[in-house]
Parts: sequence; C-alpha cells; structure tokens
Amino acid sequence: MSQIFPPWWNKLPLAAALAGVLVPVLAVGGVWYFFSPWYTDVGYQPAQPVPYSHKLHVGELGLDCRYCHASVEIAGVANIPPTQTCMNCHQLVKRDSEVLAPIRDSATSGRPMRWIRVHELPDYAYFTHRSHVTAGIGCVTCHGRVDEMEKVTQMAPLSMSWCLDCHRDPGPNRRPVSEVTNMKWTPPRDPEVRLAQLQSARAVNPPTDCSGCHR
Amino acid sequence: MSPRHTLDHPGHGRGVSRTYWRSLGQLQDSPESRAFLEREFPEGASEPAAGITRRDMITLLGASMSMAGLAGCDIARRPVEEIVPYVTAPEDSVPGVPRFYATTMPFGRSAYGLIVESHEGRPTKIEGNPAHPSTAGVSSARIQASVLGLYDPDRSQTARFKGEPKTWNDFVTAWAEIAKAHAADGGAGLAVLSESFSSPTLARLASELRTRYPRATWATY
Repeated sequence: MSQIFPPWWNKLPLAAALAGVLVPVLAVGGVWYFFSPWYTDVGYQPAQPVPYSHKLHVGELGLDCRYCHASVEIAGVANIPPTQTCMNCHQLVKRDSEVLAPIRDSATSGRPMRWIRVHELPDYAYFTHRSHVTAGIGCVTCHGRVDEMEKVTQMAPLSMSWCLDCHRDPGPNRRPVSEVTNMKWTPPRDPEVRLAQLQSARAVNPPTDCSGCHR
Repeated sequence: MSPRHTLDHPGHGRGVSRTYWRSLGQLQDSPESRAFLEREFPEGASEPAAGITRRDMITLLGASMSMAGLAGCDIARRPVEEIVPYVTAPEDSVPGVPRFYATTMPFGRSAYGLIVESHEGRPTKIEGNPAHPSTAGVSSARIQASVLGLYDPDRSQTARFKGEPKTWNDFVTAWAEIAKAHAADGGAGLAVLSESFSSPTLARLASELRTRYPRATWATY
C-alpha cells in the first residue's frame, strides 16, 4: 500500500506554527506602521504656487509669525496672509523676481492666490489657535522649526492620541506667552525656575472628554 | 430532431404520432435554424460581438479599485485642499471670526428684524434681533430657512427678458421704448407685477408711475 501523505507533510506543523505567528505579527505591525499618521501625514510637503521660504523670511530676516498670520491670537484659524501683505515689502523688494510673478499677478488682477493647505484637521475636530496660543503653547510645538523650512512640512501627526498626550499633561509644552512665536526658546534648566514659571502662568484646563473637541 | 423540439401525442384518437414545429426553419430543418436552436442565446445577446465583454469590464473595475487603494499608501493627500486668502483684506474683518449684522427682511407687508451671522462675507445663520419689536430675539422656521434662499441657484441674478438673462442697461433701453409707446395712451395695457411690499420708497415710486400712467395696473401677490 502506497503512502497517502508524502514525507514533507512531517514539516507541516512547524510551517503552520511559524506562519501562524509571522502572519499576524506582520499584519498588526504593518497596520501599526503604515496606517499611522506618522507614516501617512508627517512629512507632507506640497509644492506651493510660490516657493515662499520660511527659512529666509523667518529664520534669516526675522519676521515674526504674526506679521503674516495675524489673526492667530484672536481667531480660530491662523490666517494665510492676503496678497497685500506680500506686496507690503515686495512692491519695493525683488520687484523683478521670476518666482514672485504669481504674487504680482494676483495683486494687479485681484485674483487670489491659491495656496495648498499643509496642516489639516478633520472637520469633526474643533480646533482654535486662539486658546492654544494664549495658553502658552508655542508655534514650534506643533509646527516644528518653521524658521528652518525651505518648504513647509508637516512635522506632527496631528492625530487624536497626539493631541491627548498634551491635553492630559500640558505642562512640559507650556511657555511664557511672550515666547510663543520664539522658535528657539528652551525651558529654563533650573527646575525651580521652570516650576515658578509654570505656576505663575494662567491655570489651564485642557478638555480630555470627547465633546471638548468633537462638538 | 431532438425530442425537446417535437411533441408527440400518441394516440390522439387515431394512433398516429404527429410532429409539431414552431417555425418554418424548424420544419425545413435548415442548417441556420439548427444553429439557432443549439445556441443558448441569440448572437450578441449575452456578449457583444466585438469590444469589451461584461466579465472583462468587471475584472478591470476590480483591478482599478485595488490599484486606487494602493495609491493611498503614500504621503499624498486627497483631496488636496487649497487656502484662498483675500487679495486685499477688508480692514475690519478677521478670517474665522464671524460678523453679525442687524438687518430687516421684508415679508409681505411686514418686516422682520434679524441678526445675520456672516463668515468672510457669506451669511450662514439668521436669528431674530432681540432689540427689534417684530421678532424680539426669536425666529420662525421660515426665517431660519431664509438663509438658504440666498444660495438658491434658481434665484434670479440678473434682469431677464422672456427667460433670457439681460443686463440692467438692456432693461433701461427696453423701458425707454415702452415709455415712448405708452406716452400717449396713459399706460393702457401696461401692467407691473410685484411682491406685496411695505417699503415707503417703493410705494412712492409706484405712485409716481401711477401719476404718469393712470391707466396702468400695478398688481401685487
């Protein structure tokens, strides 16, 4: 009588055990890594209609964030500046620059610039810049070192768990309100000074319940 | 001929079997009719004679769906959102901060005192004005819904003549001719149809029109 099962069937239990471990681990790990906003969103760097360099304007020329994003302290959105704000300087500076042609066209024709949004929260998440900035959360905390960016890049995942990490313990990310737009600020080394700094700041109570943001 | 296509009725009173037929082709047993009978569907009914078949279509659809899914595994945001700022920002407007305007909405012969919330020049919400006696801060379903009327695509944007969009200059030209034609007969046969109104300005204009064309009709609805 011939054998029903060939000899390699002896290895089947081992192979099945290996696959039974490897496949779930790879699936879970793959979803964990590739579906996370750290992979899908961080590093998003779209090309803008005008290659505006924050590195030049903020890092080297020293413009304050609020010169252009003027409404950040009083409104939910940190506004993208109107063409007029660019022309404040560029009607005198770099008047013949090739890359600034869309700005000049916009100013003369009245057609607005169409910038590409980099940092985007879903519509079901309520977010306001005003309450974060006035609570002493620096621009750099969420947007990274914009003063070193040639092209604006998303640096933080802007995911819910990332928001909640700070909402549960905002202390380490807080700074004096006067230093909010300072890209190079670091907390004082002396723990006592730091403690006094935090204690003198306005008490904040960031919401961690669902309706705090999903309202 | 197969039994499927013949009906034998043995007996039938005379012990003779009969062969029934359903078409002349079947009776003649021509090759064309035999091929027609052996095909399940007529030619072209289940598959097109040329081009892409239904099954190929489904296969391609499925493949393109899965390809679209693969394309999502990249730092490419869809849809790409644009931010369109002002060219010259209005001095007293802050993007993201709504402005509230007190206004009145004429309705029939009355008017509602309203407060309209406006985002960057776009009205989004209408409520009663607490300081206005006609609404005293409350509103009705009709008032709440009236904001939709502002975005109604059927709302007339321009003057129209027999359904054709015209400019106001066209109207002025057309009216000049009508005025000339009716100068002598006092507006006989001339009619103006308007909504009912309580605007003093419009009432004055209407009475001026009646003075000039006493025989004209001004109808309201």
